[in-house]
Amino acid sequence: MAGELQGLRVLVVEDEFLVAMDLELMLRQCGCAVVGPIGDLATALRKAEEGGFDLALLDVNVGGEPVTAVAEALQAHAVPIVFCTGYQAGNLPRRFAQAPTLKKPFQVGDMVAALRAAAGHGAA
Amino acid sequence: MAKLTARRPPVETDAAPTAAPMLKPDPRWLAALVDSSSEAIISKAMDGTITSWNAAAEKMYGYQAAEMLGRSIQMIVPEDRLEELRLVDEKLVRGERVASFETVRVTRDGRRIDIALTISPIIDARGMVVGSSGICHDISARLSTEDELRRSQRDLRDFVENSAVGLHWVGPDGIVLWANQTELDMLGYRREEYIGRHIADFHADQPVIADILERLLRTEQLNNYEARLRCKNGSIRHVLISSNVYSERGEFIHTRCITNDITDRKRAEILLAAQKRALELIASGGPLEAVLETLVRAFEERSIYGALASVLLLDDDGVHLRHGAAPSLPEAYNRAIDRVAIGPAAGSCGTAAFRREAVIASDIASDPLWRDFRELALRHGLRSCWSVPILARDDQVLGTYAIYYREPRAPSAEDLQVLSVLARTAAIAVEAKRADAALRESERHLRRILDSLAAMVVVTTPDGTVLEVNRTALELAGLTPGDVLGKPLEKTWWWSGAPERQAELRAAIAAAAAGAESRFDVRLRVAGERHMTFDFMLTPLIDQRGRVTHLIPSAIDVTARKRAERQQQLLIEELNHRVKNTLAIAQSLTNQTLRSSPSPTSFAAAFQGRLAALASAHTLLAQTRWDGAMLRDLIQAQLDPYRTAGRSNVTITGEDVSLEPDAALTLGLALHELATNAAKHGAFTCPAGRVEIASQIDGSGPERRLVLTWSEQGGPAVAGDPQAGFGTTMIQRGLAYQLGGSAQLEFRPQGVHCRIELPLADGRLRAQMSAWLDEDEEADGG
Repeated sequence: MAGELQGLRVLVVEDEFLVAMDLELMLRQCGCAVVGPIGDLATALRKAEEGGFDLALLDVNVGGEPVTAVAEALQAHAVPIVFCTGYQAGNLPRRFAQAPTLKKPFQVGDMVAALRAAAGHGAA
Repeated sequence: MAKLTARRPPVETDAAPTAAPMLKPDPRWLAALVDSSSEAIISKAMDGTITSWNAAAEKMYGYQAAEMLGRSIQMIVPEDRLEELRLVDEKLVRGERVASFETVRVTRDGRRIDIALTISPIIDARGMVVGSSGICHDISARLSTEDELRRSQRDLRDFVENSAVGLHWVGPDGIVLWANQTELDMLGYRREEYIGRHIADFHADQPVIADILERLLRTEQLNNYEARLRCKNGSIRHVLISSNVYSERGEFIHTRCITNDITDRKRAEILLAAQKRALELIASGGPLEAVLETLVRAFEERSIYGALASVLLLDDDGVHLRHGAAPSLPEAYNRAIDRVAIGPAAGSCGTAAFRREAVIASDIASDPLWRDFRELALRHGLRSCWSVPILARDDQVLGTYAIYYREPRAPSAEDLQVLSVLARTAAIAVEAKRADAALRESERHLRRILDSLAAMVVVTTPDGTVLEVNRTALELAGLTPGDVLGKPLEKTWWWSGAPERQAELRAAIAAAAAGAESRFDVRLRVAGERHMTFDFMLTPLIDQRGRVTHLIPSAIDVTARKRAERQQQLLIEELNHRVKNTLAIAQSLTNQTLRSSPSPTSFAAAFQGRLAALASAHTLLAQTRWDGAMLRDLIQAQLDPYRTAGRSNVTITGEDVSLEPDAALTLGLALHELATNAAKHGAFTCPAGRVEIASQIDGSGPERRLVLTWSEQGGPAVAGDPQAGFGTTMIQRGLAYQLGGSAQLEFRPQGVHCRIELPLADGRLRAQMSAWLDEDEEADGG
């Protein structure tokens, strides 16, 4: 099932350390390579420009600020994005409406589906 | 009678008898002449024996000559004329002729006829009077014409004297030459008191008579010229004078004046006009003083005896009478009776108000009710006073209407009727004024309420033109009434610069004009470029006939409510986020703990400990409403479970500091990992072991840092670095990752030593909260 994700390089931007650790764990279980995790926007933005990953898993809110700038940079490089959020309604700009969103807390299965959708979308 | 006979033409036969003795006419010729005369000719002897009787006499008296010759003349003389006959005979005896006198005779059928008789003596040759002859002329017909003329003259005089109108003649010098009885009766003068005096003496208004005379001197015709005449008793009559001048050959002989007494009509007119004026004043909201003065003047103007009228008004206390209107009474008297208390014997007015009925003092000098005010009234020349109460519809006393005279006088029935009419009109005026005052007060009251409302309230016409606006609405935007009154509401400041809101309002006004209420939230421009959100309502005012008379736009500032709603939404969102995050953390803790737990038992113990550590940090934060937690409290909460009673195996030293929620949670978990490790492998495993925790604040401003050291002593010897587990990851990576800090974890032989450094700059949550507020302000401003 997770086979398609094997070897996928996933950038993780998540300010909550324990959640980041969990994502890292889940992604590894799926055979993904984790880039990061990164807990602050400045580093994340730099990494987004550098590249070196196939997909990004972004927390909507990093250190109290929206992750929009990072998402825009990634979109500019056509990197598929999966958002994850603790908020009820994603307060993301409309242009990211098509990106899958994971609502915390989520199970591995949810994540795999989201990553697959994003990867498929990005490929298309 | 003498005049009339004097004008008679001479009778042709008159000379014949007197000429007879001088001529010697042929007796036959003479007889024929006598017989053919159309006049009755009778002669008699001195003893009265009839000696001749001609044909005309036969015809006049109905007796034949044969019957009458030798009979006494008394046959045809009525008894009441016998004396006259004797007197005539005496004259005849003296040889005098009795020229044509008028007398009465009786005919055969007993009819009395009027005749004119000329009798001449018959003198014989010796010059002796032997008889007389008379020529009779029937004047009955003539006399009846004269009677008629006399009667007609009498009628004319009666008509002239007693006509419904007064008549008089005035000479060019203004002296009354003649006046008819009606005029004399009208004014109460005797003929001699009137005729011979100057006409101006009888006029009440000198300029009026001066004008009348001037016009007449110019031979102008006057038609119904209004004037006031003064009667002998001092009263006034209103008259209409029509007059012209009788002149002969251009010379002013006298005026011919017709005086029509219109006093009754005039008085009725004055009363009606005053009432009309008063009611008009009341209707147009004129001042009460003006209405009362009109009513007071009404009685005075219609009065023919110089009445002085007064209105007093009952004070709100129900006890004192206050000056209302009395322009003709002496000012000092008005002042003296102002504020007089009503009572059972308080003059006419005070008593009338007290008794609620008319009080008539025909003579103040003797009226017991005037005891206390007698001197005052008499001093001002007031002798009688009639007062009626002014009563409201509910019979409450509003005041009094009184009439004064300068002489003792009692009212007629008509006077009392007029007084009651005027008092009723005064009541209407006072009540209207009170209702008006009550309405005004109620309007002021409403105005105060409107102005005190926190809401913006406007009154407009059905098409939305602003008629009224309350203070709140103006103050919101720093406007004056002039900025908005008379303008279409959507063109006012509040709606300026927002075409779509103007259109929305326009539609609402159209709906309201059709009777439909609208309510919606709208952002209105307040001061400058600031806008505020209002709960706006547009309500039509509908009258009893179902027509929309006004619109009431009102708006309540809901900016604060909106802000609160928004903040509440944000807080709920944040709470949700935090719960979800906490659950994500819990999930992570589960997964991480599971990975390093050899058995379900050890998982349960380790997981529950971590969950408890998280919970105790939450508890501390909840106490400060997530403002932060004190470092000392955080350390104690994590270490208290490991303290040994009676021994100090935990030492906490150094400065205390407030930690951000994020730092408190992460550091709490890190301390928990250190403590559990100590409990499993370190200082807390043996009685001698102890942990020293020291804190220190380094640097200042953005560089301010917390340095926290954990050092274990007296525990079992540590054999090198253990395998990296969740605890070490949490301490070494977590603090750095989450808080930008660092941790040096050393497994020294004497025990674990950990040095943690954390930045103490402004936390993320605080930054986040202020970000929300900024966002909110921006929303208000935009």
